Order: sequence, then structure tokens, then C-alpha cells
Amino acid sequence: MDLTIDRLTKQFGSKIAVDRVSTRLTPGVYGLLGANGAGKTTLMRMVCDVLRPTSGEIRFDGRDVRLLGDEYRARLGYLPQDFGYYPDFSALDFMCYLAALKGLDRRAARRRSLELLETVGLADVARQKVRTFSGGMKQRLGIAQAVLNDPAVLVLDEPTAGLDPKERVRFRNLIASFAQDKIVVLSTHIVSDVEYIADEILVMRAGAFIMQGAPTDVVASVAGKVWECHVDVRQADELAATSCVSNVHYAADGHAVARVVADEAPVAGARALDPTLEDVYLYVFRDEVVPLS
Amino acid sequence: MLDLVKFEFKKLLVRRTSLIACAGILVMLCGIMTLNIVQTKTASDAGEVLNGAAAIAHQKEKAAAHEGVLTVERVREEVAAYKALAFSKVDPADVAGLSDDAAYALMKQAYDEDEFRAIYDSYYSYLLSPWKVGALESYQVAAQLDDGAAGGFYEAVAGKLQRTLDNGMGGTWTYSDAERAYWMDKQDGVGEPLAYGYAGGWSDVLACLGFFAFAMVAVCIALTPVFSGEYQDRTDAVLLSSRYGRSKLVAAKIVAALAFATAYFALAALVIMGAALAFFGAEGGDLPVQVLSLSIPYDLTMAEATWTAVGIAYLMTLGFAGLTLLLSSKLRSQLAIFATCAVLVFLTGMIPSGGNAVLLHALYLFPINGLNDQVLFNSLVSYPVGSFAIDLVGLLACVYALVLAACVPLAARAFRRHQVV
Repeated sequence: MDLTIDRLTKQFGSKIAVDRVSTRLTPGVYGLLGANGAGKTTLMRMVCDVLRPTSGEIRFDGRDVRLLGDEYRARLGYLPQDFGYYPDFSALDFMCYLAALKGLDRRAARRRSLELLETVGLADVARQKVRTFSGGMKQRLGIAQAVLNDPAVLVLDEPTAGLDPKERVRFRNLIASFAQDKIVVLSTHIVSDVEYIADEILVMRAGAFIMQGAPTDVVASVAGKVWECHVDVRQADELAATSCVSNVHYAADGHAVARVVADEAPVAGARALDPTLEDVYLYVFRDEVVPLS
Repeated sequence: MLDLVKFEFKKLLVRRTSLIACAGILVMLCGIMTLNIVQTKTASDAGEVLNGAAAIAHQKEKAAAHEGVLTVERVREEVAAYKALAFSKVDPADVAGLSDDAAYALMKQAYDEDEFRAIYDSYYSYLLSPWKVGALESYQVAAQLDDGAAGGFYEAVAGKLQRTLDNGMGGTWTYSDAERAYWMDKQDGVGEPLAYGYAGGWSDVLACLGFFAFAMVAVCIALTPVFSGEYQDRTDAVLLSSRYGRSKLVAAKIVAALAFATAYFALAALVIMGAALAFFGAEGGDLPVQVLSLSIPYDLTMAEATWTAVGIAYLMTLGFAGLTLLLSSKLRSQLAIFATCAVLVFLTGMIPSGGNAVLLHALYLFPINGLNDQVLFNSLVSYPVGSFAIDLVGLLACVYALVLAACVPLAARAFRRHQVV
């Protein structure tokens, strides 16, 4: 099974949101990283067949998804960003409705809905109206609906938005357990969401993939560019204003320890550190990161 | 598919704004029909003003006194009897040349209250209507009739139609030959002799036809979010990316919307027709529609005319449902959709025709103008189509069936092709 994105382009007027993107996805978890406006959502909408590309095509097992139509969408699960709900539906009704849309028969729809509501921790409120749910509960419901049809391709656009840290951990585990033999594309700008579960990282900027590979390879690309700097408070403030500082810790003795992502050692005596995926993100998007000040 | 239809129907029912609007309009219709019954007024034989049920009972009694077949013999005898009554104290020649007001004053002075009421009995106005020209009173019409003229009752009915066609809506409309032939054929098809009697319930339904416009607006409000609600609530992405999002879902939405429109219309019809027939009586449905006016050129019973008119209202409701679905599939703004429908349903009733019959003919195609028993059956509204003619009833049926047939597929296509941006 593979999903091939071939020179996919989307243009809105004079603005190119996605620019000749090509890749081939096979079963595994793909973390799509990018700043706001990088084109992640536009790309995902095209992958999910809800937005027509300006040019290029998407092929599922070698066949154009637009020609496959229902057949492709039957194997697709999608959680969009800013997903809307029917506030007057109960969680169970909402799930059963989407199950009917995904082609499950009534009995299977109910059984699967109850199973998934249990999995995402909403079994106790299955018959409550969605309008009474918190943001996190709605997001969990969104995740549950996305996997209702046991999709071969699961596309999740900012799935952890609104989830607390415990829920995010649960979500990561859920995706990891679900992802076997499936293509899971997970878009986020929260690096920790994909750091441990992604088999491959796709970094998107200005509508194009600028980096793609296994997390270790992607992380290795910034080796030697992450520094630990022991400075005084004044220097720490200067660094925060001028460099890409991922973290500053102010010690009680008036000194500070700053983690800086930069091509060269930002201060004398800076010590090179092992990079993380977050460092990659900061390095790639250092022009777009608002300096701490 | 059935499950999807049920869920779509449920979506329509649980929207609070739709629910409030639909329930509110039904309550309003109940109120209007209650007032319609309570405010019915008539004068008893003793001159006392009767209201509500008493008035209705009196109207039934009066109509019952004249019920039966209007044979030429009977008409001749009744016209003669009326002349004897009306001219027992006044010479016919004295009222024939007077103005309406002067004749009224003369009659009022000559007769006592009971006699005067008998002379003004609406039945005689009905019976003498084929000979009536302009705004003459019944006794003025009778004064001009010689004793044998009443024998040509049905010829007079046909003659009146001819005069109406010649008059051409007060000189503003020239009937084409095809139209004239159409109406004369219609008139020839009316069975003779006609029967007279009480059909108050059916005539009240026809008089209340315009209230169906409220039901149309309620349907428009309820159907406005069918597609646009998905765009506005951002549920479109999940729906359209699902297996049946571009196929069965669209069909389910349309089926649910039209089922809702039908169910709501049925409820409104139940309120309007139920109240009218329950309180004014369901009898008289088999009487000819000419009990309303002898100049109606349709060979229909009261029940048939009523069902035809209600059927037209239903087609209009479906037409507006289709239009609402089309707008809903194209626009995100629910207010814009509702405003468009409300303008077409209601505000077209406020456009002055200024004596322009062409504009008037166009305005008759909108609910607030077209849903009127006089306009539908008695105003000889027809449209020349080449060498043919079609009447308002036929054109309304065609127009709204076409609107429905055109809008629904276009709405489905627009939703299927919708892009989530």
C-alpha cells in the first residue's frame, strides 16, 4: 500500500500555498512539521480530497484518488483542524452518523462507536450532547470519528490542539497502537507530538518539503548547531533577543544557562549539545521564531 | 441511506432557530385561524349582529334555505319573486337610472328594516350577478331585467365572461385569440345546471390560502442551514472526506429536506384546513366552485378547487425548498439565504403594479399574490404562449415544478463540488 503525492500544487490567486510537493508514503507514521501558514493544512485537505489541487495528483496504490472517489474515501480517516461538531447531537449519535457516512451498517456502527468512545475515554458521556463537552473532549471525539472505519490512510491535522499533557500522551499511544500497517499523517507544530511516534518527519516551509527523513536523520542534520551557554543574566537577555534560544534557566546565583540553536557558538565557552527534534524545528524556522525578550 | 436520512432529518429538527421559527409560525397560524372563526360576523334576520359559531350557524341556515339545483325555471321564478319583493313599494323605473347611492337612499326610505334586509340578501346578488354591470345593486340589476330575460340565465353567465374578456382587465390586458378560446372552452366545460348550497368550510380554506406563505417561510428558515450550516460550522471537511459524503449524503440531505417541507406543509394544511372545515363545516365539497361566483369558468367542485389550490401551495413550498437548498449550497451566509426567500415570498406582495397588467401577471407568480382564490379561479389570469394559452393555475404548477427540478440537482452538484478552503 502506498500513497504517492506527485508534484502537487495549490495556488490561491497569486499565492502558492503548496508548491510542487512530491513524496511517497508507505505504512508508518509521518510527522508533518511546519510553522503556521507553511501549507500543511492545504496539503492535508488535498490528500483528503476536500480541496482540488491546481496541478499534480495524488495516487493511492497507483490510482488517482479523484478517480477512485468513494473507494478512496472509504479507506480514509480525517480529523481536520478546527473541526466542527453538531452541538445538539450526543457523542454516540455523532459517531453513529459519521459511521453511516463511512458505510458501516447500523449494528457495526453502534458497536464500533461505543468501542472507540471507550478508547478515548468518553464512554461515560456517550449520551451527553456535544455542546456540554470541553475542548479536549471534543478533540477526543474528533479523533475517535477519524478511526471509525479503520482507515488505511489516517490524516490528522493538529490533533492535539486543546488536549492537556496527559491526554496528549494518551493520544500518542493511541496513534502508535493504531498505526500498524497504516499510513498515518500527523500535522503539528508541537514537536513532542511526533518526536517519539513518527517513523518519518516531513518538514514543510513555504509550501514545500524542505526536509524529509527518519527522526534520527533529521535530528542529525543540526548536529553541532545546538549550544549550552553559561552566561550572566544580561548576556542571557541579549542572547534571547538576538539568537534562537530554545530554553533559558536562571540560576539562583545570578547566572543563566541558555540553550541556543545557531550555526556557530554564540558565546565563548559554549558547549555543543546533542540536538532534539525541537532544535531542528527551531533551526529551520529560526527566521519565523519570535525572539524571547 | 435510511439512517443518513434520519440523521439529516434530526439535524433539521434539533436546530434551535429552526425549531423556534417553525413552532412559532404554527402557533401563529393556529391564532389566525382561531381569530378567523371567532371574528366571523353576520346579521340575523332580526338585525342582531351574530359572532363566531352563531354567525356560522346562521350562514348555514341562510344558504340551506336556497340550496338546490339552479334550473332555468327556478332562476326565473326566484328573479320574479325578487322583483316582486324589491319593487312592491318602488317603481323599477325609478331606481334603474339612479346612481348607487341615490338608489340605496330611495330603497332605504321606502322599505322597513326586515324588507330592506331581504332585498339585500346576498343570494339575490349572486343570482343576478350574470346581468350585473359595474357596481350596480341587485335591485338595479333586477329593474333592468324584463320578465323573460331570467330564462337566459346560463347564456348570461357566458355573456358575462365574454364581456370580461372584452374588458381586458380594465383595458390593461389584451387577451390573445388563444386566451379567449381557452377561457370560452373552459366556460363551455362547466356543467349545467349548477347547484347552490352551503360550502362555508371549503370557501374559508380558499379565502385563507395566503396563509400558506407563512409555512413557506418557515420551511425556508429550517432548510437554510442544510448545506450552508455545514460550511459555517466547519463540518464540511469531515463529511466530504467520508465515503458517502459526495453521494448518498447529498441525496439524504435532499430527501430529508423535502420530507421536512412536506411534513411541515401538511401540519400547516392541517391547521388551516382542519380549523376551517371543523368549524365552518365540511359539507358542500361536492358543490360546484361556482357557489363562490358564477363567473368562475372552471368545472370543479369546491373540494376539487380547494385541493387544487392547496396543491399549488404545496408545489410552491417545494419550489421554495429547492431554491433554499440551492442558495444554501452556494452561500455561507444563512441570513442572505433567508432574506432572499423572504423577499420572494412576502415583499413581492408590496410591489405596486401601477395598472401594468404585464407586471401584475409576473407578480401573480409569487406566493403572496398567487395564493388567492379570486386570482386563481375568478380573475381570468392567463399567459399566451405562442398560439397556446396557459392559465395561472397551470403556469404556477409548471413554474414551481421546474424550479424544484432545476434547483435540487444544482444544489447537489454545488455541494459535491464544494471545496474546503
